[in-house]
Amino acid sequence: MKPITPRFFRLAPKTLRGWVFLGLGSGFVLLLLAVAVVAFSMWTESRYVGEETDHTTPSFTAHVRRVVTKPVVGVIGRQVENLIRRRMEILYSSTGLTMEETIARFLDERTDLMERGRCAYRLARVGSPEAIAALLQVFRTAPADQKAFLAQLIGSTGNPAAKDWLLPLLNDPDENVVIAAIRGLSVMGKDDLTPRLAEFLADPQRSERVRMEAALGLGDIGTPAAREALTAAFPVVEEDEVATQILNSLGKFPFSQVADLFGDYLAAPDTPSEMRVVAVEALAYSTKDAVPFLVGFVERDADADVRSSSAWAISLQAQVKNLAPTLADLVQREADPDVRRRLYEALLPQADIPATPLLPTVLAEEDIAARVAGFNVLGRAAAQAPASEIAASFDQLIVPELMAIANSPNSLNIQMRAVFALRQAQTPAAQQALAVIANTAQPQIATVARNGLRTPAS
Amino acid sequence: MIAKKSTTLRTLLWVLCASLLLGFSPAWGGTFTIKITPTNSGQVIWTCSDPQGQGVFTGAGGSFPYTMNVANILLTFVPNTGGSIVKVMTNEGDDTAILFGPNHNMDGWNGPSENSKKVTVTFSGGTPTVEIPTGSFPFVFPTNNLSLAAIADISGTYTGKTPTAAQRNYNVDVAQDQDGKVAAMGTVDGIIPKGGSPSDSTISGNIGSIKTLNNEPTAQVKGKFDGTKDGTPVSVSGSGQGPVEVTDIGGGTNGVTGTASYAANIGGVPFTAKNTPMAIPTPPTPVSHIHKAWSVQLEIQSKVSPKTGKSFIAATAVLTLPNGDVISYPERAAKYSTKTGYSLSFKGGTNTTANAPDKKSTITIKGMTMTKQGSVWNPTAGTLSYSFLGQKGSGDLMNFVE
Repeated sequence: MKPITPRFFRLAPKTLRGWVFLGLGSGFVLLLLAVAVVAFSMWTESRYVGEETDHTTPSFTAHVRRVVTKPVVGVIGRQVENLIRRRMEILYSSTGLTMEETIARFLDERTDLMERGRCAYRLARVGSPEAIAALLQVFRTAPADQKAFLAQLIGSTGNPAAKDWLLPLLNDPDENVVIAAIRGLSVMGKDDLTPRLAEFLADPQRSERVRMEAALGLGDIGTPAAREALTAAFPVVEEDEVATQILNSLGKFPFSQVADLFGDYLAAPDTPSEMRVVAVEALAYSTKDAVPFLVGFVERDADADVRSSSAWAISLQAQVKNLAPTLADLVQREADPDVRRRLYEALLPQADIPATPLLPTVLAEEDIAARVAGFNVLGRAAAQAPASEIAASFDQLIVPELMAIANSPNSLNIQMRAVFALRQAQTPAAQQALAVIANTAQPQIATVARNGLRTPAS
Repeated sequence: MIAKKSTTLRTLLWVLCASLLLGFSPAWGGTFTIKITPTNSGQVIWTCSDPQGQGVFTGAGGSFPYTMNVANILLTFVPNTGGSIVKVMTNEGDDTAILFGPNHNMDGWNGPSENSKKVTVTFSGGTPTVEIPTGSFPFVFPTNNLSLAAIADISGTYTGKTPTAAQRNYNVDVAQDQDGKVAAMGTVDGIIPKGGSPSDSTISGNIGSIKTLNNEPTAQVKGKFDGTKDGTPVSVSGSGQGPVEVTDIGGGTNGVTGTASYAANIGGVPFTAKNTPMAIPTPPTPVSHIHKAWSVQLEIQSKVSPKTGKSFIAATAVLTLPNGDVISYPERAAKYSTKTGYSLSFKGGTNTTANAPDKKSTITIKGMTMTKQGSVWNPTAGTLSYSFLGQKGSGDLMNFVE
């Protein structure tokens, strides 16, 4: 058997031009490969936007995503994010002043403190010793309500110098300064802050306000360590206000990571009704896999407030669009008008709303808020099927009533939602009603109606 | 000048003399003073026909106005339970003997001609009765007091330009319900939802809620959008949080600040961001949409139960929310103690604006002590707790007294 190496060298270019061509060719192939990897990564990741806890993803895809596509897309995403951030920062950084002038303006007590926010952001972004000294000077003397605003703005720059400056303020004797520092540091979202915030949260000597801000900060940081700190503090916290904030922060995590805690807490017989409401509402901000859990509470919980809040939390999980039959069935079985109202709201983003069985239920509603919420669902159903019977029923039975609600004295919220129902429907009769309301209702409602008038397609 | 003054004076004297000769007396005001001795030994119920009025004096007594030569006045002397009347002294002397009826009435002042009358009543024995404060007490939320948790209502129409290079026009109508839950409906130039069209690009849905977080109203919002941006497919799901407060976000521009986290996909490029600073400029109109003013009108009255015939203290309240809705609470019995004052809780009211029950708005007043100035009672201390529109707060009652 002949060695391979000499054969390879025989295939190698013998001239400089040959080597150049080989280099260009290889580069082109690599470029194509890179573009293919990037395109594949983007295609793969775009299928999972906002679905980080999708357990149905095959393990092979998950592995490829973790090792290849996520890092690639992460790099591209960071560039897009930087671009957006730069655009957002234009508001703050284009002061038209030199750094010296910015410091002078910032230190000038005659300058409106609110206006100093712009200068503060720029100084924190630059982070020079002079800028930091000026920030510290003003921050110390700023009114309490301004401190949090300034610190959050400064923290949002993400400048490590700002972090070095904010960290010592956690030990400040003034509670408002500590709260402001927590807020500023939390916005940076770095996990090295987690132990400090966990310490604050667990310390009963700290004020309720500081502990609540610590809980909020841990939710903003959003790392596994932050979640563990919140989970550890929750059973030992005595104050309802702090416990509420812990639940709200835990609700921001993917549901699979907090399901056990929420399940146990909601099932515990000694959990107060108000806190159960807080718990289910916190899950409105979790991932979509919380929806079946929430549906279970709407179906079975004995407490109408918990059922109502669960239905509302489902309405915020708008990415789940296959719940219409389940929700419509729950509406039919529900005795409490408040719960039915929230179920109608949860039906709004759903596809294929079963309007025909809902129509008599909605028309039988006596509670005005539930009735108008039901009209919104029927309006949406009419828009989904413009030539249907339901659209005709909407025009005939519901439009006159909605017009009357919008035109007669009532709660602003009810009147606005009545106009929303007409805007949902988009039927000719609904458009006509909107045109009438735009000319006859009180100014606020007339404006809402005017905004719903369709502009003719060009 | 002197001659002119003398003429005027003479004219006035002639008018006065002529009036006296014609038997006409001008209707001038007088003051009727009642003194109770010893203090808290009983009460005096008075009625006056001109100016018309009535009331009850306790403690050391009090005074009321009357029109000389016109007013009819009736006094009723009521000793404390188990006590008795010792004597009643008037300007004319000891008039105890002229008291009449089982209720110890005294009248006879059919148009007193003196400009001041005084009656001193002496009671003895009996158990002192506590004077119960009654009246109408308005409490108004001081919107400029930053130490109190504000309750915000953000219902309204918001229009402006997006803080992006494209400067897209947006137009969003926001409705906030009695639980602080917020729904929105609106359009942004060039943004069309899935299933929409350029002529109908309305985006709508529940977007979140307003809650009290660390003593300030905070908006927590969440949304999901699928559609196109200038024809490019876009998918965004995100959430944001920020105080409901319009601040100067730079260059004199008002705006709402907060942080946002999102996962988006624009034209196939997915990207995510966490806790990104968010500053949405708002034109002048939205500032007026963030309503924080509210008030509660408390009414405390002494009433007689039609069933038992016994008197009791009844309290009602009318709450006017920042969104203009009026919540009327049913009458409830109240108790007053000089040490701890009134403690009242109002819930289960009726939204009279929407003509519907209101289960969520509550007002609680604890330890409302009162003092009397003249005939008017005023609060001196207490705590007011409030919860409505999905938010809540608490503070020193005196901060709410205008």
